[in-house]
Amino acid sequence: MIDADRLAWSIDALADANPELSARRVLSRAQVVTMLVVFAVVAAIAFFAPRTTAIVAIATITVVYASISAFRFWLFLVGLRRGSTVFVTDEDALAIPDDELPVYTVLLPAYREPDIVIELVTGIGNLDYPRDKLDVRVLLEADDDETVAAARAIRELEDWATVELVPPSEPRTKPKACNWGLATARGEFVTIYDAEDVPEPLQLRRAVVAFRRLGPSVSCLQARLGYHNYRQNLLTRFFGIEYDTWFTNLLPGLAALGVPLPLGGTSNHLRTDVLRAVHGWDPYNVTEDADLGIRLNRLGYHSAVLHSMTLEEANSDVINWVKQRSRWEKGYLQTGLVHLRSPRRLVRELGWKGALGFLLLIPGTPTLAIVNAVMWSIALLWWLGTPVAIADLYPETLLHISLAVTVFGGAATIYVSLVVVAREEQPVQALLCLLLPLYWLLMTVAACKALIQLITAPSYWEKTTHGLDRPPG
Amino acid sequence: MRIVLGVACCLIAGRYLWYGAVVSARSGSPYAAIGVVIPCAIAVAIVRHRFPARQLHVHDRHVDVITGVILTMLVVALALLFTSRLGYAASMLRLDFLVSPLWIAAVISILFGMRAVLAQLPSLWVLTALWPFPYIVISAHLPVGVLRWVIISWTFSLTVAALTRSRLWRKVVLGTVGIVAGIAWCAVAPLPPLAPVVSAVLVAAVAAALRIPWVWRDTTALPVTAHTLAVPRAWAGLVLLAISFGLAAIPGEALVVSTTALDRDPGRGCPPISGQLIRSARFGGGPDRVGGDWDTRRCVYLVNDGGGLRTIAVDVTTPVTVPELGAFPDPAVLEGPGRLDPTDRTGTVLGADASIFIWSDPLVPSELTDIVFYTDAGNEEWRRVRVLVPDDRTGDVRYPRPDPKPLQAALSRVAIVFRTQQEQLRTFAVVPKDVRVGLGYAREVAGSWEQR
Repeated sequence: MIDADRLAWSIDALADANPELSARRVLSRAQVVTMLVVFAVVAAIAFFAPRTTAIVAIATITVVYASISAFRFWLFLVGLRRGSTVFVTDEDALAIPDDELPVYTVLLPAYREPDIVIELVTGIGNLDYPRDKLDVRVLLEADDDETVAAARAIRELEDWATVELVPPSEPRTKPKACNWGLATARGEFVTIYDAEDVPEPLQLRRAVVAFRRLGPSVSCLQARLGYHNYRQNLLTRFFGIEYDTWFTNLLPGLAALGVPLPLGGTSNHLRTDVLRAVHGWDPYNVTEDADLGIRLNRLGYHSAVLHSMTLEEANSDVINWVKQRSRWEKGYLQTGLVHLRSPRRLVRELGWKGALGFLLLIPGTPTLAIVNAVMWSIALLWWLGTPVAIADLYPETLLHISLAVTVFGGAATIYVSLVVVAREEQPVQALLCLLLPLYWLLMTVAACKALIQLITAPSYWEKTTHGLDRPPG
Repeated sequence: MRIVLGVACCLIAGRYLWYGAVVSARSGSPYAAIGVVIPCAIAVAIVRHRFPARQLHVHDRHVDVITGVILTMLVVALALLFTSRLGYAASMLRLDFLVSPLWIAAVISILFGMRAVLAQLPSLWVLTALWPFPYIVISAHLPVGVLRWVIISWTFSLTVAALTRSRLWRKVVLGTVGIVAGIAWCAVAPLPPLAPVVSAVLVAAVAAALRIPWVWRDTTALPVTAHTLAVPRAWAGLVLLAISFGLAAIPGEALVVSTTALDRDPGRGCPPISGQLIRSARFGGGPDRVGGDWDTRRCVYLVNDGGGLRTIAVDVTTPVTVPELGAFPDPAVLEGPGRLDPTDRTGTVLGADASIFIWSDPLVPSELTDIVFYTDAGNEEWRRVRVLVPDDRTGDVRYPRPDPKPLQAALSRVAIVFRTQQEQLRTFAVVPKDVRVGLGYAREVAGSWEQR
């Protein structure tokens, strides 16, 4: 494949083959028309009956908040009782002779991270997998001179990895770089790690065993992500609690329910042929991983959760965190809009349960971040000063329901976190769970930013700075 | 543009800085210590600027503006609450003081970025230390004369702790050590004015013993470059100052910022009237209403009447002390036939035929469950004589309206208790023969009202 074709495939394969599932356009024409009609109707009603409209809007927000909160709590309970995770013991993982192991492609995209790329050796280099069966590709942007120079300066890389330069082009996103690597991948399976990731050494072997055990219907395995620096500060601890909840309860819960898994950004292992068949990652979607999980499910493939840990760096800086989280929230909104272009088709392909789960989880997550702030603000204002404005907008029944939903929703989230940290035997973290409302504030800021960027720069990749877990210099 | 704006803020606020500090200090009010907080915050801001902690080159204008706007909305919401009506919980928790640091954070975030806010967090902590919930608790148990030294001790402790290069929890622990030491010193030592020095020295000593470095010893700090917002950070400290006093510069009616009026005479309660807008005509300098002769007054309020944050003293014996009841509109009635004995500072005297008007409006009707009248029938034995249930005073508790309820004061002596859902009560007493009007907490009524 010549570079021009390879680049074209990396960027437009999905959009050309299946435009309805691509985020190249954020909104379809039908969605634009629908939104305009809804807006016009609501505006007209609000003009003639503003109070009634506001009450209906508040009631709707309350129902949305209650639904998302209840779903997440239910997911937690399911994950707690019968969460579905694939276990592969060390013995099973090591039982496969090296010559029977398939070639495994490892994609390592990096951008403007000259300091971090040096860690590839310590992270990926420790994988217990025959070197000759590893197809490691360090994917760098061709015009990212510093990172390219840093990667080329690592002598050890030459033995077992290929540094590939992605020609400068838009959109400048991680999935585009991954598609570039996927286009010529040699492996039967493919996985992605970030440069600073430290996967558990047996992870690839476990994935191979799991794929063989589960059969061809399972096309993707998501390994668990954890943080090596969760003790660094309050933010990393919150991050750790959130990820523990996500990977130990919510994802296994989703898997048990058969709801499509929104994959994580790294450590997802895929069958290369399937991935190519679905045209790789969507380079216009800034949470291409979550989108891929949904798309695979819609096209008849399944995902599972693999019991194997990859350690990452938890984001320890507030601004950096908001940038990263806003990209995730924007990506979830993008993914929601893409897959809701044809709701009937979505229901047909995912089933009612899957579609509802998708709705409550994918667009539901950023929605919850914003609605949560609205609900709590109103509740606090009411408790502090019983403003007449709020009294005007809330009939008594609605007020009580709304306050109850807010309190129980918040309490449920804290309770879930408490259970998770108790299970993880981190008693000190338990106290921090009570401070989670502070974390919710950050989520709201991130969701606001995501919403703004969804309109102004939908495919802009908000870069996360890594390497903040070590002393400066 | 941002620098010009900062300078303008400073110039505008300059007058109020001087006015607020001088008036507050001259009044002899314990609240004068608030003036100490601002210079401490500025000192920390300047030090933080000169010796920046680890500074990342990660900035985001979206985050700056979104954070600033959210904080501003919060400030506006709180300000609106304070200028209209405030729930009892908010009054007790002194949420009003949070407005100041929140607003400062909002302005810094919008003008200079979130990174500057993070860099100035210690300054904001110092300002937030004004949140005097513990102050209320402690002030009730300390003699008035030592209160100011306790407050200054807090400020000094927190300032010294903020200047250590350590994690937040360590700073909090260090600050707490200093605070406790200051309080203990004031409680047992003969020279309360030494408390701030003692607490500051103790915090510094503990930090030295634990080998916690100071910010100016920070050798791990990244070099300051153009990207580290060095200049804006310097200005952030000044804007911090400007906005602090700019807050006090809002002209208009006097806004009582304080929720707890201090009692100059032990045993006498003063009404919590935070968030009440009080007309300038009342508090704006009338010789018989405000300020002036401190020693003859009993209650102290921190107000913002457009002339800067300052304290005022209010005599509970004058009708002006019950604005939150809105109940005694006509001084002529209150100072009727049995008018006030000028030598008697225990209450306002009303005639036996005086009518008492009770308006439920300012009492947060949604919290009010009933109004109880007590009388001792002249024999110091209090007895419940009448209960007004909510239906009796207003039809819709969420739409309070002035609803005067005249009550013929035929009893010999009456204490009126406003009971709320939280059992936090507000009272005033009336003695029809020589009626005395005072305000206080109902707990005092049940316990030590006789002292009045």
